[in-house]
Amino acid sequence: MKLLYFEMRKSWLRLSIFIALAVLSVLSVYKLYGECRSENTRRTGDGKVWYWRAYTQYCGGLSEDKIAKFREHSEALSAQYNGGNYDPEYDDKYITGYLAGDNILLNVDIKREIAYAVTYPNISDQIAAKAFENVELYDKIGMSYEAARNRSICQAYQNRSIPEYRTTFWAEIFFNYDFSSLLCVIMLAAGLSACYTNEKESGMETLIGATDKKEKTDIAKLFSAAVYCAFLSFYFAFFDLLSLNILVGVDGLNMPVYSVETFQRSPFGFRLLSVAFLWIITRFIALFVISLLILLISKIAPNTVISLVVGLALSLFLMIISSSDKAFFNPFCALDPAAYITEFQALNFLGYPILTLCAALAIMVIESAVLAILIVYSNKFSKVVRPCFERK
Amino acid sequence: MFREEMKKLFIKQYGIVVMAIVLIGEIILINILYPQNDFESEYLQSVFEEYMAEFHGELTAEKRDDILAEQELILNAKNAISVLETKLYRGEFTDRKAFHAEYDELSAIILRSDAFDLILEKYYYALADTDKRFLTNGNYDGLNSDYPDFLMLAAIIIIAAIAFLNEENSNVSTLIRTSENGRRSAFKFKVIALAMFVFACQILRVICELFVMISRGETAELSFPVQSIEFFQNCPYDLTIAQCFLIISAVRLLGCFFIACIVMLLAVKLKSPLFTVFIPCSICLLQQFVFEPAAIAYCIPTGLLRAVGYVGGDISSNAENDSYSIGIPFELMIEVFFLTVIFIAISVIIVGKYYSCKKRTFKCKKIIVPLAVVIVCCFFSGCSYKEVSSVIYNAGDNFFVVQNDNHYFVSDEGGITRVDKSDCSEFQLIRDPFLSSAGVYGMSIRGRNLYCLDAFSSKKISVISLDTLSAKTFESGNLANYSLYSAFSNGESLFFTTFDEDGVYELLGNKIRKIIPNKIYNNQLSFDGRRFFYINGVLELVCYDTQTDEETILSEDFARAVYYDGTRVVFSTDKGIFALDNIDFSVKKLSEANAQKLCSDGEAVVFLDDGNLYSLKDEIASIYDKEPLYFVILSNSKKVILREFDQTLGKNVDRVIDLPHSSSPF
Repeated sequence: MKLLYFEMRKSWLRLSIFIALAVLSVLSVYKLYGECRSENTRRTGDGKVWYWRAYTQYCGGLSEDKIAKFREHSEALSAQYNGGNYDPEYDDKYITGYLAGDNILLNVDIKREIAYAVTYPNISDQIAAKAFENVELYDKIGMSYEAARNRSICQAYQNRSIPEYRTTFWAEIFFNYDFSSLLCVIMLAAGLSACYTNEKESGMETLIGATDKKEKTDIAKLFSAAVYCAFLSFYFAFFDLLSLNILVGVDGLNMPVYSVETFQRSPFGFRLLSVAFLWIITRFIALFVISLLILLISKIAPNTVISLVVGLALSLFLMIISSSDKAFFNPFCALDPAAYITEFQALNFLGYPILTLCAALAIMVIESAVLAILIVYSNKFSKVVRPCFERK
Repeated sequence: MFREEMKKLFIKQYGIVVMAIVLIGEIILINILYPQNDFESEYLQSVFEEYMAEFHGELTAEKRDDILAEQELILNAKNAISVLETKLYRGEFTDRKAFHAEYDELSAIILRSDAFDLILEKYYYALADTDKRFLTNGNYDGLNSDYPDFLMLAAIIIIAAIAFLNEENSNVSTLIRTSENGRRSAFKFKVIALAMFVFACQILRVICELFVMISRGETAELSFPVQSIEFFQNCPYDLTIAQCFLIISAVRLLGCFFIACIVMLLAVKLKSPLFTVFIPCSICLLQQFVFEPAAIAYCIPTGLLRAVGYVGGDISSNAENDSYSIGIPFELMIEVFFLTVIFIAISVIIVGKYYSCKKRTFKCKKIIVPLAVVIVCCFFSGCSYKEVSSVIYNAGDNFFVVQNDNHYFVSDEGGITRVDKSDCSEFQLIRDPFLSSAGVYGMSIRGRNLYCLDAFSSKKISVISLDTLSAKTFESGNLANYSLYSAFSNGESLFFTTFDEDGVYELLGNKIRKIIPNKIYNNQLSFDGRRFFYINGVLELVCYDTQTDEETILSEDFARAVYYDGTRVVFSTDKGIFALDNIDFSVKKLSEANAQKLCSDGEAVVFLDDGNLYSLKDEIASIYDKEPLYFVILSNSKKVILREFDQTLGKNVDRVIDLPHSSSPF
């Protein structure tokens, strides 16, 4: 543990790193505000206050009375607005102060959300029914994988319903916001690029090599990287959620993930809070793979300058690739929170349907193991390989 | 000392090597940024170039009249040829020479229409402001790259950091400061050497870019107003393309000096290699992602790295989103320049004297050898092998039915029904619970995959596995520009036809080219995986070889129908029905009969003539006395499937009839 603590102190548990983190957090809030504005300009600032005032009237269980009351109110507003016989001046009786504003608020924003919550069972039941039909068919013709896949679909989508009306605007932003992942990668580069190069530059590498703790130090470095990744993953998720709560308001953490319209076809039925944790874990593993890549570069590179620039260049390259090619082996693909939870995507693994999220996690774990072995045992490996390349 | 500093930076610190790498990278990048004008065919290109030679430059009243006259000429020719074709299809021409006497002249005009459409597009753009918008030949897309040159920035950051940090870390800087000469000259020459490195990198880039720009267009075009390029249509300054390019390059150079100065300053102040590199790298990277609208990015010095926004003006008509459309006022630009120059000056004043460098011991062998092994392994593993398989494709059938040995697949309102040829059992092919089972069209089969087009989106190709029945969407960004009419593949390329135009396109990788520019008569197009057999607009049977790009006219008689059945090409002209060997092109006459449409299964031929359906094997037999919409022989089954409109039901119905061989009516 002491060794781990020292490694953490050496690489990232430093004031300078936390100052950088603070600066990047401010940037993240700025960017998040931009995202909220670009998604819906009526949900920030005064819009947030008005929305929440209207929302609190209708949120909660969707009884027929409540729906009827909402319909009556929204239709009255709509009729009045379309008829044109209303006073366009400010009036206290309206939530926004104006009839036109209330009309947009209720008939555009809230009506769409309520309608989705009410009609969602139709969407999921249709998928489940089709999958059920397929199960029978594939069982009959002996296509076991397709039968199993459709059985999974059937199980995942049957009996779904949205129990309450809760706002999910924040979730649309939160689960589609990947800028904080970029900040995590930048922080990883800052915290880990100098891990080995610093020792080379200060001559410590020779000293550590002379002791019998070389491998233990390497392993401590890996654990230090893991702790850093876990910290970054959790910190940015928590920070984003906190920022969203301030910017647009967060509610309905215990609602199922498919209550968010973007995730209507999500294979998961977890609560939003659970999905947020799942996202933290996925990001942690993806960041860990990237951190190991950075550590490997640091081990190979002659100095910190090269290590950091190459690390960032490689990250940029993988990021550009991930935007066009969603390959599992690329950890940057997993840094998009919505990547594996939006659609039911399965792989055929020995005849069993495996969700792409599980496959991606498994591949990233294998990548981590390979990279960790390369980092820890690279010295032994180079001792064996080097004589082959040396001139006699 | 100047010579020593230059030697240190360029030789000992590998500045020259880095510069060479940057140069190679830039050549590759610039070639990607400035794509060649992508013409669908060589003919189109040559006609376009002819037009451009005439209309290139300022849009004068004379040119305007000429363009409008040409537009009228083409429209008239299109109308005339339409009349002529109608006569031909009605059989009013008996002599091909008489037809060609009128047709050839008109078709020569019409062949120019595709190229002229491109000219018209440029004409209408220039017409909006004839003083500032000229007709250009070249493609200057690279000029509007709204992001920094990351490759050069990486090189500058590395070289600047090494130049200053090495002396700092080895404490040589202390030694320098102790000597009179070192205090006076070392830093000055170090900064000059670094500035020369940055300047040389940018000059090399400018030269490369200039060469590429000239190669993509013409030297004379560089003197055209920059508003001639669509991205710069709202540029508020009177600049030529060359001036705009030089200003952008100069602004980017200032941005590079700014980054070099940040590195220099951080190296001296922080003395930490990590943060000396981390901070400028993060600034360069984040400025690209943080600012929305992008105009805000131009209010800080990193905006100099992007530069195009300063001269682009209000780009509201170019941007997808209106909120991204704020022009950068000239005063703000000057303010940013001024502040950046002050920052650079202050940085230079603050920074002290630095020395020497540590020799790098990076061994390329360590990377090159494993890389070579991986490449060789990939090569021998068959990753580079592409399979071109034989295909049976007939465009006339593909809206209705496709088949393999055991099944046929019929498109209907509910999607695709798979029918077993032996027991006629039916099966709905679109099984994916997440796919809508709306109508499909344009089916084709290759191997165990069925390609079809979505009736809702003519830009989406679905590929259904016939083994697992799982569906995937074939996506290529370039396809989004076309309204697909049919799509089929031979394993190497994807071929498609469109609703908008006649002819056949090939999609290979991301590149689309028009391989058959001619009109295709009545969907009479067949493909065997390598060769296209089709009837062109003047009723000639033509073969196009996809491997050699050669086009051969196989029959100049008035051909009406062509069909490939996997063993031979069957076609019909006014002289009879023929079988053609698709490899050696030997022809065998099968019958004297004329067919408007036909199909074959390798043995029998079923054809349509005078509203009746006949079969032809050893002799001709009438098999159906109505004219169906479609008909296809089901291979290995001696059956014909046909689709016709049922007046009583008010919808299309499919019938399967046996193939009898009764006596000939002929």
